[in-house]
Amino acid sequence: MEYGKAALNQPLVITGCGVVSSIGIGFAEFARGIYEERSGRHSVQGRFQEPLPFDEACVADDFDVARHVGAKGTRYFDRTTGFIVSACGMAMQHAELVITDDNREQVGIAIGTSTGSIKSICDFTRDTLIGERPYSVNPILFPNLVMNSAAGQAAIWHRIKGANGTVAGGQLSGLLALRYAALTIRREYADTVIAGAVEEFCPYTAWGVYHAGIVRPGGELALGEGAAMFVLERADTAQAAGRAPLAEVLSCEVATYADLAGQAALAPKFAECIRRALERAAVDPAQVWLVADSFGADVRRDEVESTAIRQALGREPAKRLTLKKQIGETLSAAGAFQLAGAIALMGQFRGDQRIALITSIGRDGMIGCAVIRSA
Amino acid sequence: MAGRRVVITGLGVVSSIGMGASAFAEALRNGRSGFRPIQTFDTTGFPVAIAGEVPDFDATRWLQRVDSADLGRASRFAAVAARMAIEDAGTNEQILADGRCGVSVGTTDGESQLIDLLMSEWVTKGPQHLSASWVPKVSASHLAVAVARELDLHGEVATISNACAAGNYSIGHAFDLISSGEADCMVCGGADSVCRKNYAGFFKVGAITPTVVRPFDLNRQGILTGEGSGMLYLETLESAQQRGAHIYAEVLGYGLTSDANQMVVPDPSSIARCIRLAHAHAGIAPDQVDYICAHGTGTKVNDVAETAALREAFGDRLPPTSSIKSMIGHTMGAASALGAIACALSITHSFLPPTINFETPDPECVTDCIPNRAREARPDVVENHGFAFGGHNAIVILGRESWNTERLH
Repeated sequence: MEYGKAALNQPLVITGCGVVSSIGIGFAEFARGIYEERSGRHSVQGRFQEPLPFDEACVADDFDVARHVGAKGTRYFDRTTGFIVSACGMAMQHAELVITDDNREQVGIAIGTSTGSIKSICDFTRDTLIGERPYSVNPILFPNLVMNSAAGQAAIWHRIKGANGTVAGGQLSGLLALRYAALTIRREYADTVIAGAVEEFCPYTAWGVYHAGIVRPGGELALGEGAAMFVLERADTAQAAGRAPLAEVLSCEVATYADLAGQAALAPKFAECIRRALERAAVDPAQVWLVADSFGADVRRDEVESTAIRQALGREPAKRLTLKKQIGETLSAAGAFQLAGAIALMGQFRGDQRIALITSIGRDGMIGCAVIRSA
Repeated sequence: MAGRRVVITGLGVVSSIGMGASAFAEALRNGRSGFRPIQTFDTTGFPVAIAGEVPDFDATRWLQRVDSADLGRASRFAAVAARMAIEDAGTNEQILADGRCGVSVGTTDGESQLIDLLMSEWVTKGPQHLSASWVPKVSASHLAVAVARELDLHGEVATISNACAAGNYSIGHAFDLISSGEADCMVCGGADSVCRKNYAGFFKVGAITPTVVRPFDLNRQGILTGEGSGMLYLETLESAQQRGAHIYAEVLGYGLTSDANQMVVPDPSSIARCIRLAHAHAGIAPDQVDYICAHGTGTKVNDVAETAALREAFGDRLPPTSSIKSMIGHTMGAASALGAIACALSITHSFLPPTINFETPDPECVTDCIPNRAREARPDVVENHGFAFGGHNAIVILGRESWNTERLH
């Protein structure tokens, strides 16, 4: 391979999508969940030994690692790893991407997660505190503590040997993973990258979002979980392999204004970020059919996001998807879910190229968006 | 490679053997050891409790914009090292603030001491009584955000969490963003603090040495954990030349591979493939490499696997290869960032860092580990290794900028 020769501006396409969510397992079921406006809320009472701060959450109750991944070799998978290995597999199957000796070194993985499996980390830490000795821990579980554990297990399970990255970015994790994957392809480290993000429900996260004031007991927004993964590749790679695109990723932009976090003054910066993404996508604001937003329970952040969208588009979009109403606050996974949701909604109009804008705002003044076009 | 040339013009170091690039260079040259009894977490019950802790660390001496009381230990390390790197680079605030400068920070454990603290509260007081203000800081994203806040940066801010290869990952990512024109400059590197769960895990699996860290030595017995941060300021060659900046080194390229084999056992063939990729991306041949800063953890398994990979990629003649982990321990996400800084310093200051504590050669390990004493040399091309749990390898190649300029003409 002669390195660095291909055009950097090759369009990137998504040829497959795998989803583990509280409204359905698999992209088709997730998409149906969106069309039917299903709610992912389930009772979580008695689910763990530890108490929980709320009785309901949007949990992926239908997920069963033995059924969705396999019974053998998955015994020590934590939930984060189970989600990722499964969602990767579903995305590959959806794209009809088959890993062989010819492509395994040219396929990469990019995962967004803020903490890795916080349950694995906290359980292990707790064992150092309550065990007979501070090292009374199960060594088999030690590798689960690294944040790239799920990405490593996915590579092992699916025999994928290309560039493999894990990115932490809070709410922006999904979009950062998408950008990381896009750069990995554009710089020719891989032809195809399976990219997405994950979040698992556990008592630690439940109490975490409770103390952080992100989710309130009895509030409209529930805590959610799941993973969404995408097969991202150059259009020519997809075409040569006969994989049909679901959507084209036209641009993905991020910015950070930590000093303006939670302030109205962040809105014009966010609008600027959206305009830049539209420009790079060569899309006129009037063409945007759908906005998949990250609205949650933080009124000020929602207001910033809403103002930014209005400023950048100059109007309300024809269609709006506020996914957290259905699948809850999925934290690190939120951006990936928004992207999957946008693809699902656009999929209802196949052959009719529509434009969607995915917007995301974090707690720390991190903002980002992606522009995609349906196939 | 098609793209803009990217150079390193600023270095920041928080380490157990020195603060700042100059002190770190001196310590590397003198083969200083940074190990001391662990102070920052309760070690009651551990037979051995030594680590490469950063002693008497006071972030307020360096931080200008961020209140250190607002940050966990790893974020403090990252923000302080980043501040040092910017001051070392002598770049102006305008360039930083215009939105074309981003951050990538590599880490293994993120804000691990905060997790230790919160879990201690969980166990003693119950989950209803956690210190609420620390809870949102548990996201590893805060390491990069802390740097962005301290330096008022507005570009892409990402924490890359590929464990013990994360420093190289973040340098590679920054290089790609600048080279492809997505960013004009980046602050990148890695940071981690020592922590209880990590120490317990390594102790339990028998990886902690009861004595000293002796990479490549026949009698090596394992690692000691360490902590700190190494941060680098990267910009285009053009901007560095325009402002007359001192150029430590040029980033020639890097390689990434995934073993897809096993989570913790290093895979020599996958590492060898990573070396070959790094060479190909940097446009160099193996015989052009003048020095390798090894992953060199000092475990039986790593050092043999790394040597086997080197032999596969280089043949019988291996470049001088040392492990700075003999001096600072395994600093996890900071490890390959500090390694890259050692590489940049080797080019600027004309010396190769030693592997200290070396006594007995191991026929299965590299023959020239630059034993015990730094070596005067003038390396043009250096190679920095980082391997991680999860089977993820990252190798960065740095070169002397004048050497590369001559080569390209």
